[in-house]
Amino acid sequence: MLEVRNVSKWFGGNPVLKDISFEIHKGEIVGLIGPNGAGKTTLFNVISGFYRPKTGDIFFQGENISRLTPEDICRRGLCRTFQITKPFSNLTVFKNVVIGALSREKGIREAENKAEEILELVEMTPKRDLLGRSLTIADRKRLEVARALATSPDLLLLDEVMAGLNPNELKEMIALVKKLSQRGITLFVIEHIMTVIMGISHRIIALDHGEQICVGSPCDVAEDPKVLEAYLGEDYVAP
Amino acid sequence: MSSTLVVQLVISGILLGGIYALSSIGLTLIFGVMKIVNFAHGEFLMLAMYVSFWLFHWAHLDPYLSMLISVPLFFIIGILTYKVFIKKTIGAPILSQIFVTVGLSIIIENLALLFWSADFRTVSLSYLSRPIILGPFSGLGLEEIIVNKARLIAFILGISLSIAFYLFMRFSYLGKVIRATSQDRTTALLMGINIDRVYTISFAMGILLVGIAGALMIPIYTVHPFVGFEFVLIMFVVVVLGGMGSIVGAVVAGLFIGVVEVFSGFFIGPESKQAVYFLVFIAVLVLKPSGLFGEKGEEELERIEAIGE
Amino acid sequence: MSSGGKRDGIILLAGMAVFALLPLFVKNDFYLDGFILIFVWGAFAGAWNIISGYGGMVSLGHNAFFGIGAYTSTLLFLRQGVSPWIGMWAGAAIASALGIVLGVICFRLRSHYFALATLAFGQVASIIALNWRGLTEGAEGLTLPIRPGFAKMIFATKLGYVYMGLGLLVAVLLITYLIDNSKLGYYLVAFRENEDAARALGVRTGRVRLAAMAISSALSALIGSFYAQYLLYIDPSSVIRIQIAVQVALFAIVGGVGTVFGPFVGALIFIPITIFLRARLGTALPGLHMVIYGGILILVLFYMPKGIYGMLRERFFPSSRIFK
Ligand SMILES: Nc1ncnc2c1ncn2[C@@H]1O[C@H](COP(=O)(O)OP(=O)(O)OP(=O)(O)O)[C@@H](O)[C@H]1O
Ligand SMILES: [Mg+2]
Repeated sequence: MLEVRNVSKWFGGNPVLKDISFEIHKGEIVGLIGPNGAGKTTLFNVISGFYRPKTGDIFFQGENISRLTPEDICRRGLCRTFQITKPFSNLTVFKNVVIGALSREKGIREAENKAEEILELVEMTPKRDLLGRSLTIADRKRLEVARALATSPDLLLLDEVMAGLNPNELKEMIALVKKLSQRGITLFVIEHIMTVIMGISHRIIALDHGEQICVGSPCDVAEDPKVLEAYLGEDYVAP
Repeated sequence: MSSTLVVQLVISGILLGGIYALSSIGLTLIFGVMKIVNFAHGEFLMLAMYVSFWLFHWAHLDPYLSMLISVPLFFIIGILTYKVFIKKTIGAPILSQIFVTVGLSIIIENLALLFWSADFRTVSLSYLSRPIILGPFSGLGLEEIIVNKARLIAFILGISLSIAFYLFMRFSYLGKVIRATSQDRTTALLMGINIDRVYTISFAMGILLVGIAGALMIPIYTVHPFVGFEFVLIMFVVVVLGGMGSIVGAVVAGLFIGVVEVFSGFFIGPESKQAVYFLVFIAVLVLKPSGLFGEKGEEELERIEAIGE
Repeated sequence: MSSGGKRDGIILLAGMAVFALLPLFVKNDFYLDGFILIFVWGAFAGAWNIISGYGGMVSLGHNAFFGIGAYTSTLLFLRQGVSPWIGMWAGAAIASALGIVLGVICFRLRSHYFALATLAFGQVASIIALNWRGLTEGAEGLTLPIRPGFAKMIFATKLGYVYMGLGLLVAVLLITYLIDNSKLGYYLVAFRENEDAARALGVRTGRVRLAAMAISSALSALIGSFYAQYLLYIDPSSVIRIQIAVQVALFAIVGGVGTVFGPFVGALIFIPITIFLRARLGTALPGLHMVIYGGILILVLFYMPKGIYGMLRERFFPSSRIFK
């Protein structure tokens, strides 16, 4: 479904992504891990069209999308959320989601119906009339997901939607992610909490300093010396 | 076109540019630090010109000496303006940010009209009346070059003050704090910098600089309530061309625009010279909106959040 | 429709009836002028509101579009004998083409930079109007022959202008209402609130901005043409100077940006203040009315960021489908 081929990205003189290649298949949940500053969000920005890759191509459902704009990529069924949430602050939760639905629905009416449905799915119906700026962190993250879902994506990129949640909220979010996967949405998920990402992903990609250090099943990745090194420092793996 | 003419125009342009540079530094400082365009900047300049005018008129105080009064006065005016008006707009929607200072400019301009009428007023100083004549430099093939004294004084003081201000920002503790805040407000906050104080002082300094510029300009220009608007447009051009927030940029761009204005005034005519630098302005906004010396991406920077009490 | 909806409909109809019928009973030309000005400025503020209120792209150059409308229809009539009914559309076409060009070249600019770019654009337009004497007669201005005639869009009585002004106002309100209820309106608001988020959700922000710019500038030009027909004499200071751009924004903001009726409410408040002060003071205290304008503007920005209409709506018609 998604194929990333030899993608690299530089900021000024600094390589932030170096020759990244991997594939994501329909129906999978793929985790993306790596220490802070590894380039995870940048990879999402490149895939979703916010940045142009310096080299390499990205194919989504067979089409090269590496030169498309974010809006056109979204309309093809690939949507992303933002790590630093970007709600429409002065609009209600409901209207936030309606806007998400509009690009795929025929008219306002249809988009409103769709939004109702999505709010029900993510269990935010009681908060539909709150303004974007008045939401808690957990609700902002949830709204990010809801809006993205409203665009009817085939592939959804989730950027740390579980960061900063309390254990209860975390549990709900995990359940939601699983629910989405069951609905047939392919998921590509950035997450820092190892137990969580290991638990939900079918496969995991690990980045460090812009390099793809490992791809594989959660077990493989967890035991990979390069991953341990990236997270825990050289000394730890040395012996 | 004779080489004397070219040299004469360049010199006049650079002298003019020195004035533009000084008056624009305050604007660029305010934008750099708090990401607010002070649309009332020209009106503060106009006030400064009036202050020097009235001090001359009533107390026979030489405009250059009136700076001694203008400096503290405009510093205080700056602090009050910040506390009463500007502070509330930090982190507010863009519309409020723009129109609070637009509203302020309308009020100041029309209060000036109300109290001082639309009369054009000038200060003429006898010791400035005769121009300096340089040359002829027969070795260089140049004839006499005429230099207006008031403009020369304004240029020398303007550029010296600009350099002094640049050094202050670069090397003094306060200057470093201000620069740190303008680069990364969040980190500055984490380092224990009192953002509100930095904003207050920056804004007040911006107004103070324009206060000095007013005193330097009154021997050259007539003052009337609408003069601020004429100058603020030029200041915008200078500040954007130099890169919003860049002091060096404002000086270089000020000199450049001065030269452009003199040349286009001479060749195209005084009425249309404005159009020329506005076209420069639009071209800069289109081609390199970050300006000559601005930080790239500044024009796309997100707004900063409100100051907590 | 709920009973609340019915109530709102009745209020709207009653309001419209007042503005449609009241002028019939006003015999004083001075007050009829007031109606015309309210309609012209209400409509113009509404046009500004489409790009700057809904889209959040603050324009300080709408004087250019207004002036282009005024000059185009007037010049076409004077030089080519083209009826203003046609000339006004030519003005609208030119204005919206320029609006689109401006939108394209300012594509990357955000917030303050866009405002400054439009300010420069407006200023260039007014400099051109002042200095291209061969075309515009510069500061001397252009005079339309006073002989009335429907084909010339010159009415014998003020009432003709009152109703045409009202028609323009209603058209602008209707267009705004339709935008507010369409994808374009939602997209504009999404763009205003957060461009990255909007794009990530599939909003083609580039097109949306240009569409809003085209509509807003075309409407401004149409109103400018009408205003020229009403004045029968135009010069740069009456139709294209920069203060016009500031004033139209001021009316819209005080009334309430990003709403359908807010800009009109702004004109409804300010025009009578102006007329009252002018009647009371004449030329005695020049600038006083502008001081008051500026003061009201700042007070509204600080204490009623949604504007006067915005605040009233929140209080009395929070979820009305009519009072948007
Ligand atoms: N717009 C930018 N300009 C310059 N450098 C950038 C930009 N965005 C990110 N970077 C740099 O690229 C590197 C990767 O950043 P990125 O945000 O992709 O990391 P991340 O893996 O998402 O980290 P985190 O876990 O903290 O979210 C970092 O060193 C960051 O400083
Ligand atoms: Mg990240």
